[in-house]
Amino acid sequence: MIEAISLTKHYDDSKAVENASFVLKGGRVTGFIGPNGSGKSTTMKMILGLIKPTSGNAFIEGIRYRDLVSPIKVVGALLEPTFLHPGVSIFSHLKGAAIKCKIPEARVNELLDLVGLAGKQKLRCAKASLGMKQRLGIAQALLGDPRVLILDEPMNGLDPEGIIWLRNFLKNMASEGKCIFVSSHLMNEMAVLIDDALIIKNGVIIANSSLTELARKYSNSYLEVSTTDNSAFVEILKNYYRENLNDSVVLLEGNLLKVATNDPRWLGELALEKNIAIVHLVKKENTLEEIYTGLMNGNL
Amino acid sequence: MSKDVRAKAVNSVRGEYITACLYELHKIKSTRSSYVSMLFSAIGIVGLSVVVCSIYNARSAHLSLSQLATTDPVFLALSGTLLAQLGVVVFSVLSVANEYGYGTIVTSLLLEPKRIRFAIAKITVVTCVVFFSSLISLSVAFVLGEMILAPKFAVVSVISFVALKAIVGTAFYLSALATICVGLSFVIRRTSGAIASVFAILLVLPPIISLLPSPWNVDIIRYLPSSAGVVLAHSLHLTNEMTPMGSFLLMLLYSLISFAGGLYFIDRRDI
Repeated sequence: MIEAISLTKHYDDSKAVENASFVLKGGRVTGFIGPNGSGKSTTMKMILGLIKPTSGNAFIEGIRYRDLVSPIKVVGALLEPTFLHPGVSIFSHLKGAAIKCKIPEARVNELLDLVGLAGKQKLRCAKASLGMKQRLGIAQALLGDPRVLILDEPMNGLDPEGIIWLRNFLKNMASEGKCIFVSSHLMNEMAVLIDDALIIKNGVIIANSSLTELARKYSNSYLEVSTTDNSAFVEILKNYYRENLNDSVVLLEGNLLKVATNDPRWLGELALEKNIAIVHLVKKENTLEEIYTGLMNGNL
Repeated sequence: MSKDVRAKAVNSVRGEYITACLYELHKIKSTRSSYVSMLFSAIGIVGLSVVVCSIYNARSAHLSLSQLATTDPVFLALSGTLLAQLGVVVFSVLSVANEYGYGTIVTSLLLEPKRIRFAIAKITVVTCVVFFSSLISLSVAFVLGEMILAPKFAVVSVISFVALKAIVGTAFYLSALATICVGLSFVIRRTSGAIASVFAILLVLPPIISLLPSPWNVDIIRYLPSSAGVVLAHSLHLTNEMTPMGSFLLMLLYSLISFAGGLYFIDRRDI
């Protein structure tokens, strides 16, 4: 479990994070979503004791990171994949972490195997691609078999196979009851990965709920319809809505009608009554990306 | 707290400290720059001593009596220290500044969130590596140097008190220099800045201060680290300089100040 209580970080000339409070439970994948410079990394670094909050506190499994006895066995973190000594080999980098945490060398090889770096042990970090560095970072985060994972942009630089592997792996970890906290800009990837979303804008958390809750709250689901006589049908719908004190919910875009309802039966019966045939009907919902964009632009 | 619980707590803290040191040692062992800089030191210590001793041996007939009286065979055999400083400074500055430069400090602090422990482990390992490796090179340089000087000068045996005092004293000087560099690098965090500062103290400050009118120049110069290093490598007493014990305490003081500064800053700053 990760718990942030009024986390705030002010720099001399800016407010990076303002009063961020949230609780992330085990068994869920939480996505941390926000534009560049919105305070995602700062918040993660405050949780990990790398940046001192101006005020507020963060706890992992009820303990501040700095007070954890074996931090890597409680929480695995991946911050910036390029933070490696270029002259050190992939194996040696991970071996160092294993030495520090009294983890046997066999586990190092096991993890390199798991993240797909088997055979690259001797490769110097300077020669490793971004994807390889990212995999190494993931291996390091998993080294202590932690109950909590904090990953900052873990999909950056991964190939499609890697992304799919990571997605399934993280979902699996969550189903084992682990608490997964992932930041990313890839909205479509987040939409299929996360259970909960934590949305941050200018250092302020503006949404914190499950994805289904978010969709229910912000998504305007609608029906996309096309009929044999669109213009007539628009008038019929507008009349109907006018009688029901609402006339702003029908839109004609090209030959497609957007109708703000999620009841296709009602629409079908209305068309039948007026002798119009429906030739196309699709139920549409706002994607996470659209909700995110809406929230960022203040349209929602 | 019962005695047993306390003993366990002490044991676990000691264990954490030891693993922190092993991790630092691993980092030193896995980077090429450590080998290059420490090898440079070793070659500098032995090589320069051999060269200097050979020159003195060849030119001994041309030295005046007063020159002969002030020639210290112990210092000639340990003169490579002057060159070795370069390697020691680069080695110890890089051990910290590279962490900031490459960002590996993030991993280090994630693995060891107790920053004071991290910094103490770093200083312990760097200082010990410098101390023991210089002790070996200095002993080798001393034996070779005295062998070269033996026909013409009154040399002392490597196992004499005078020789051991100078060898251990010089190794201490180099390791104290390493501590100063590590502490300073935790404050400055940039390779270029830290190396420039150390060399300013070692190389630039002495000639500038010597420009001052007498007796200010000698009064100040004797308190510089480089002067302390020269004193510790001598067996003869030097006029205008501090005593070996004074130089030892001076280096200890500089190390402690730099160390304390490093601890203060790493604990207060972000990352």
